[in-house]
Amino acid sequence: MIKGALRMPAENDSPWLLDRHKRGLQNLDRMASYPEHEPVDLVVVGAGAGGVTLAQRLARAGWRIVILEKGPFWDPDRDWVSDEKGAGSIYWTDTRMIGGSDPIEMGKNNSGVGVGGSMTHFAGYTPRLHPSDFEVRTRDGVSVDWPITYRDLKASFERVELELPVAGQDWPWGDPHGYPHAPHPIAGAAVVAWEGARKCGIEMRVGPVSITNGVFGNRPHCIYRGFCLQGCKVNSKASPLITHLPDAIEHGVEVRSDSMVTRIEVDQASGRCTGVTYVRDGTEHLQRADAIAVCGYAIETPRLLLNSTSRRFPNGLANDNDQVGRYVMVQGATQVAARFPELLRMYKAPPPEVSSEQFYETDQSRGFARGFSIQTISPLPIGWAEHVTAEGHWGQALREYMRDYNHWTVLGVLCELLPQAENRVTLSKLVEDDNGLAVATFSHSLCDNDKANIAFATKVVQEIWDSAGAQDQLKIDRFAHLVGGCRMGFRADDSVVDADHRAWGVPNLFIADGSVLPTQGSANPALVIMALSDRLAGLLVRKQTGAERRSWRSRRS
Amino acid sequence: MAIPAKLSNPRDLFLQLLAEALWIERTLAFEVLPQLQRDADSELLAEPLAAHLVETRVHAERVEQVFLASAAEPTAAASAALEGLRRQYAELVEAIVEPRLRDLFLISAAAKTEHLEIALYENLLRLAKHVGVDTGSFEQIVAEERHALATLEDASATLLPNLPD
Repeated sequence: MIKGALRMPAENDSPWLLDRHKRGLQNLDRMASYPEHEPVDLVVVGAGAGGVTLAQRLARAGWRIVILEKGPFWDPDRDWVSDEKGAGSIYWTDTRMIGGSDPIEMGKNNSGVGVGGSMTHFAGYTPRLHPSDFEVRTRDGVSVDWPITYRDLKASFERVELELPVAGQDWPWGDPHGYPHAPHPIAGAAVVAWEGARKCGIEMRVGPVSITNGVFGNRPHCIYRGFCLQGCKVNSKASPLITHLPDAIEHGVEVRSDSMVTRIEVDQASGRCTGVTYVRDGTEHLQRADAIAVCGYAIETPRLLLNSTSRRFPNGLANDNDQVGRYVMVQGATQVAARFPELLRMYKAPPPEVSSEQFYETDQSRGFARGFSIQTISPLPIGWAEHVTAEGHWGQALREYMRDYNHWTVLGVLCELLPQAENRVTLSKLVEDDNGLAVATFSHSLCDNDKANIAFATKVVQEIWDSAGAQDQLKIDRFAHLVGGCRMGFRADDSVVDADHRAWGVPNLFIADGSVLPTQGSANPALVIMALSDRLAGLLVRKQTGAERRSWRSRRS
Repeated sequence: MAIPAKLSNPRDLFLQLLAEALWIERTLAFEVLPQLQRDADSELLAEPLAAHLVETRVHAERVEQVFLASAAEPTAAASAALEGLRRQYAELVEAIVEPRLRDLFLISAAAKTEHLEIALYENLLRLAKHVGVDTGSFEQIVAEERHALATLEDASATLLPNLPD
């Protein structure tokens, strides 16, 4: 029996548009080319999880779409290497300023660049949010409620899970569900973690990972090569570059890579967007559009809006209520490594293997609101050296730990840190990029609830390793992921977009990326972002049919 | 969380305290003062709170200016002290059901914040001399905070005789 090949997505031919023997996209010669002076139906800013998914859906409904992406158009065969250091180009490493009591390091653990976005270098975990995530305020008295519920996203989760496709065991937490692909086999490093968790009474499950477990169209079975964080070389791990873009291009989407959008243009009389200015090869261009979807993620989306000042929007686009850039969240992602006598070789598999969401929701006996998830993760040698030096080992001791790499395995947590108004993106007052645009400044401080959550989660993982019989442990405090910054909400005075991702006060501006999340749960954000875009596309296709879109144009002119 | 940056000279400490001041001013302007405005019952408090909100926004801008004068990017670092005051306030305010009593409690909470700010700015003023940064505008901030404190004390004196038995 061919594992995993039994169900294919009905409205996405991407897996068949790839080549079995080559990794890059095969239909680029058929890509559309739209003139700049004529408005397209939609300009999408950013070719990541949110933007590409949205474009693929709308292109199938006949929309003419241009995606502008700051980074290059990746060809995995040509551009990606099995080398931690050599993979640096897939991270967004342009200058950004950081500050606050707990500043966040930017780069490999939270920001991608190029067509495919951050998913080209994510580990592959694609859990759903829980129903409780959408009503945190009501249930737990912290954060805010979402203007939508789990029920609004459930069908989108299912659709996207089939397209990636997600492999994993039946999932008992949140809204219990199954996955389209069977769970991957797990390696020695995850076996010891699972055993330790079992002894502590903690349930772990295999997955959920968006890595093929079987042939999927022309995408092959995962070869367990590792280096997923450096970009998948065989097209097994999902990223929009291979899961949605081939189909989008086939349906008339044009992608302009190496194109940095510098501002959104607005008609001063009507307050509607008219297009975007972008820089390509040092030259400024203007692409006119009937509507704009900003999908630049939690730092660059607020930065673009804040930089798009005009007479009508002197504080930045959609920022009349001083909400743009606020409530940016990261997840507390402390990792605890453990040493075992046997050889574990944690690099010999995808980093995501088993995980647990047993501690996801609030348990009042813990003394803090909300919770965390636990996941295996496998740092490669440079990442491993960071673990060792974080505990102060240097010189001879560092060399010994490095030599011992194959005996170690790592569990990480993802703690739900709460949204805070002052954890925010502002524009730098000192530093500009090559285009003369102020770079983003990101201030981040933990609140007491965050600190208690991280401390508790770390203790749980240390107990797992104790129970598993670990001989030695190393802990590194770190953060992962980025969401928020342009959150969706019920009212214009405490959010940036409404439940339909439409910016308050700018009717043809949409935001479709991780920045709209009002809370983040303990889930890795990729699937959530894609599901939100899937839902938005459905709304736009149903509500804004051709007649409605024509009326946007007539109103503008 | 990550290993905290080591502070080894007066400028580092100055910038750290400045970041705390910026966080306090921004948080007061964006969250705390609007909350107090909603919670306050007496007309006596409405005008001073609104006036102080305007002042606080200006204070945040002045702190940003001092950052720039120090050739540093303005960033805000959470103040555990203000967080503590906010938590204490939130815990008790819900329990006070008598509006006049609640206003009195609100005044005492606001006064604590003013004292915190005054202490912080006076420290910054002293430290600035060593660092060689012009913080002239802070003297005006201290004066305004003292004035706000005096207004609160006046309001308190007016409210006290009218309290329920």
